[in-house]
Amino acid sequence: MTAPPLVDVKGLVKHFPIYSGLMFSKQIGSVQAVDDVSFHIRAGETLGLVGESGCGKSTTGRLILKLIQPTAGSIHYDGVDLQTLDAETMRQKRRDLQIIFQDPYGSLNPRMTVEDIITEPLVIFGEKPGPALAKRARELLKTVGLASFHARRYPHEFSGGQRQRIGIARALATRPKFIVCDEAVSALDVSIQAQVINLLQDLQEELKLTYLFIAHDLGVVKHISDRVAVMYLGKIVELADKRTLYKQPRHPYTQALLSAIPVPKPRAGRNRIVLKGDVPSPINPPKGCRFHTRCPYAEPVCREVEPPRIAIGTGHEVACHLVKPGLPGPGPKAA
Amino acid sequence: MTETSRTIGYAPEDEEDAPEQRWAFWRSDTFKRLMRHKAFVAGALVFGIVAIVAILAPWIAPADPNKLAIRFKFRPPSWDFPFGTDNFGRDQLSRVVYGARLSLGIGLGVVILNAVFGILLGAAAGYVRKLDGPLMRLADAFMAFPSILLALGIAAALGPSSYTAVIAISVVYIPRTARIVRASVLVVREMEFVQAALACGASHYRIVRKHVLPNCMAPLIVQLSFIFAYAVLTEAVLSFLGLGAAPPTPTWGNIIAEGRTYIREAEWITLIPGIVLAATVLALNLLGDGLRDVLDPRLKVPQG
Repeated sequence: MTAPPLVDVKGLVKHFPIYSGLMFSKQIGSVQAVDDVSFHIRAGETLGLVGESGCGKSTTGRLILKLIQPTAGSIHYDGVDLQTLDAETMRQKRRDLQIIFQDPYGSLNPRMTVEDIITEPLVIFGEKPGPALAKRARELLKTVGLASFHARRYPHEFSGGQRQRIGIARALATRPKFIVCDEAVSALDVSIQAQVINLLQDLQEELKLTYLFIAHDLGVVKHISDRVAVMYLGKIVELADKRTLYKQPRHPYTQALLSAIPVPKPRAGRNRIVLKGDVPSPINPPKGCRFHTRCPYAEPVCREVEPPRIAIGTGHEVACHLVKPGLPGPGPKAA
Repeated sequence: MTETSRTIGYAPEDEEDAPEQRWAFWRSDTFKRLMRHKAFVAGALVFGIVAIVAILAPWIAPADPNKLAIRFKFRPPSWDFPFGTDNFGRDQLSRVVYGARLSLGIGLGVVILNAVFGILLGAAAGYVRKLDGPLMRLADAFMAFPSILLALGIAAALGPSSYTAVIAISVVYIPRTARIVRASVLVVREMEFVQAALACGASHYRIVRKHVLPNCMAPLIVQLSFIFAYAVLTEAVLSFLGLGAAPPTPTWGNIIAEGRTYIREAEWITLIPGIVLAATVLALNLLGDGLRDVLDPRLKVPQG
């Protein structure tokens, strides 16, 4: 518990500029996709990152891997600030940092064979094509539960679940330490989701992997994560270890999200909290607490002052004016 | 690495490796669909014949295309002279056969230049955002001229010859090709496998070469087959107007131009190369239509 974090993100900000005009364009605004996000991930653990579509979870994942340049903030990996690295050192670092994508159809190049796809990271890092590389490809395919004769085929010959396994094999090729799973199972059938999640867990145990697991399905996140961060409109509103978060959600948004999980007991009483309205535009986010426009308990202060994220328990942080350490907070009381 | 199969449960047994797929294209779905496309097969057949004739011209032509024989002048088509003879008694079949050589050669030259510069400029404009504006405005400037007029202007400026014809026609069509490549590059560069390659540390050169361009080939191939047709046609126009290969060398355009004077008395001199030219261009268009239907799934129409 006291080991230094493997990934440490501080004050991460990403604003995508919006331009207007055809030739002499000027910036007319920006999409505040990620706004002042901080968290850390310890070696060997899985941090779940949840939130609805467009809240900035995928952007956060890609920022950590430097696939997009952050507007501000710092990302420390294994004690090294990735922002300060030059291009070549960063490229070398990519061996340790990998990503698994959501869309198993879009993330594999249709013109390459499976062998070429999963050995590409190795070829990029200077390994020569040959029997050794082919053997490694076969090994990787076996690791993810595919057969070695699949190596010569093209992506279109596989099902969604199999393609996702190929994506995982590619991510594992360089023996990384940290993998961002960007909605890695969201596009799959429920039964295949379970297979892929089990595979990810087994790989984590065996290869000592650290995951940032991005998803919009709280059920999936509950199964795989050690800790969970909830994002709303570019900000983390609540962060806690899994058990605490699911048992005692304190932020009204987390409570609403959790109340939306179907319970497999038809007669069990449910206090469904249905949020009204839509997520406000990230181009012009609400002043004060970003959630106040939809919060059932909003008070005048919420409209004016942005709530800081405060610790209310061991590793439990909430950004809400109405939640105070030791006090029960708003909303339906935990049963 | 063996422990993991426990929960996965479906790792299939290894089969014997399939034999190397050397003839993959000939057995591929794309090839089968092309063979079912009647217009494509017809176009490919006609174009194939013209191409073979062009390649084998010295063996197919019954006579030297430039050999004068005044006593045989203005002979209509017959067994001795299947396409007749012209005002100098030259064998028209030989002239049309050698003309095919030049026409298709120029067409091929234009296609190659278009492929090379179209890919280079299109990839640069589509992938490097800063180059996009300037390159595309330049393309707009070229495309603002009527194509024949621009080709005429360039050919006239450079002086008539078959090489200048290739350059003039290429300059006219390269902006169009570059646009098409750019459009595909813009789509493909946003795909997740490009992000995946970036995450693996791939260089931009590698991404463009291995990931972006191979996925932009279908519309380019379609476009090039049409450009081949336009190039053959434009070359005929240029040499008809005296801006292609210099006269004793036969091209379809200058045969037609020379025959024009005698069109009332010896219509075969213009008619036959005209028909051959039209058939070739039609064949290339059919071929291009077939390729587009098969390679470009966005335009796919259900076939009855």
